[in-house]
Amino acid sequence: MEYILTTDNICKSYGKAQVLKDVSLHIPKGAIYGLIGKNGAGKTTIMRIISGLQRPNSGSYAVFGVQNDDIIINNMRRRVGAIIENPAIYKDLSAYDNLKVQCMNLGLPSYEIIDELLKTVGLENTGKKTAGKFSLGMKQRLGIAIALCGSPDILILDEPINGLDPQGIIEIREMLLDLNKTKGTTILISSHLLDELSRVADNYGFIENGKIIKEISKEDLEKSLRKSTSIKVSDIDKTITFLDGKGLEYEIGKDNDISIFADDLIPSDLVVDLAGKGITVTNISQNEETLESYFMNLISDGKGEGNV
Amino acid sequence: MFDQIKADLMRMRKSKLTYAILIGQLLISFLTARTQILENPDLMDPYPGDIVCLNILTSLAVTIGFMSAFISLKLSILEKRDGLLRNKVVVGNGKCGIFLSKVIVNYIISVILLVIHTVTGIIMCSVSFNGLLPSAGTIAKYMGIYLMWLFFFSVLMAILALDLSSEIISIILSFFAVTVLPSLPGTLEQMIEIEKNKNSFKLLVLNFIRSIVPYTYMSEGDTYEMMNKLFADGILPAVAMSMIFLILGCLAFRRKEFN
Repeated sequence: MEYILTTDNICKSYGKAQVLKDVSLHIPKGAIYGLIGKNGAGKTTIMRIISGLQRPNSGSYAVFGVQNDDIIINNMRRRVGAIIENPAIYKDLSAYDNLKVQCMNLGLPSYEIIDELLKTVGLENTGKKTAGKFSLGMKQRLGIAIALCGSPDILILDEPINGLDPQGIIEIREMLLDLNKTKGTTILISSHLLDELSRVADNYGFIENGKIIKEISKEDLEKSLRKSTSIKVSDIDKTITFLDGKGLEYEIGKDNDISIFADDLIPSDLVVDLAGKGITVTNISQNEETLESYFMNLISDGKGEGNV
Repeated sequence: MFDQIKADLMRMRKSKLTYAILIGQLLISFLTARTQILENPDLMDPYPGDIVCLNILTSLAVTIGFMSAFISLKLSILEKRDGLLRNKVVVGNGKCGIFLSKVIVNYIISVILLVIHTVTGIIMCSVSFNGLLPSAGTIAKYMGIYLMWLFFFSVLMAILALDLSSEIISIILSFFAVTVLPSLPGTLEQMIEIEKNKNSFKLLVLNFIRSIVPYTYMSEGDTYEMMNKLFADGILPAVAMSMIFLILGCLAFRRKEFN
């Protein structure tokens, strides 16, 4: 697999507090890589380092195969766009002028791209309205447009949907998916809204207390997500004996419902089998483990297997 | 770096604050020159035109410092606070280039303010004293000293705005630089006077500091003879001082990390 961005055992401390511990990430070309972690886990710090805003205390990273201490790393950064935390915009300038300033920062010879970018992010009708008067969603979209100046091959987005309303979240999601699909832009995105992240990302990195505890592709994740069948029964003791006899993994919930973990369990067969033992099933439902529960399991039971 | 200068100038051009400062400078230059002329009706006699006009020009140069400090601090601090410097760093602009571009943009603003002040001063002088104009040589020396001083000041403002993490400290030190530093040469002069007959090491140090403080030219350039002397003797160490500050500021900014 071709990796467009990698980090190798990056450590970072602020004073005595170590915020990153040997972080190694592998971001495939063309991927939407979701970086998942709780607040303070180190997501923003690793993004700052990759973006060149901060230096690692030890370890290294490579962008397009160029190491961070290589003299040409700054040339490679021309192909990277980033929003770290809040979108950085000139509040007293219009959306067009904000993009013009960024085009100048990049030394672009023409500003033709600006109209296209404004259209891409849905800000083409904002005219002379200054960015300070924009809604949060509009600011976020302008920030993304700024990051897209120069048509970057990698987009680094730190919590880009924070504070957005549902409509804004959908707009950003569709825009990112479209960018990835039509332009092949690799996107590194962090969020603590896991459900939302699961709708866009095709690769995941889980970070906890400054350590990457797992990297996994969407396909592998889907295979790893456990399917469960929840039942409510007339006789719990008999049911437990039955499940133990079958060698099935299960959990008993607080209200005496039983979750059985088995991918190939057919609900109707289970009901019939239990009925044969004189057990009545009063309720049955099938569930699939979510990204959120997967992450919670990962961090709670120390299932992390290090970097994959 | 040139791209960033272009971007910063474009951003300045779009800012209402820039125009407010330029108009403010024009008004202050006009009003203060007028007041000085009205309060000193005998200024022309027995002095030559050079000195009359020079006094008018030098009387206001501190306000240029205030104005340029205000605009460069306001815009740079806002840029830092709003994370706008990040936009420049993430796309691969070198930090030294960013720092130097800020110095140059600060300098361009200061020079524009100086030109407004000088032109206003010359016009006021000419109108008030029957077409009296300073000689081209005098204007060139006046401009030379102030261009040099303003360059040092632009470097200083870039350091205070970009290298320091605390906005409050940036503002306090800038206020200190604009108000207190100009009196430093006078203070040094008094200390030198006390040490004069002792021929001590302290005297050497004091003389050295005095020679390299660019403000020396600022505060003592208000007489014709003094300006001639300082232009001849002190411009080199002052330029060297500016360069040292420039390099130190650049190195400090290179080490800076952004949140």
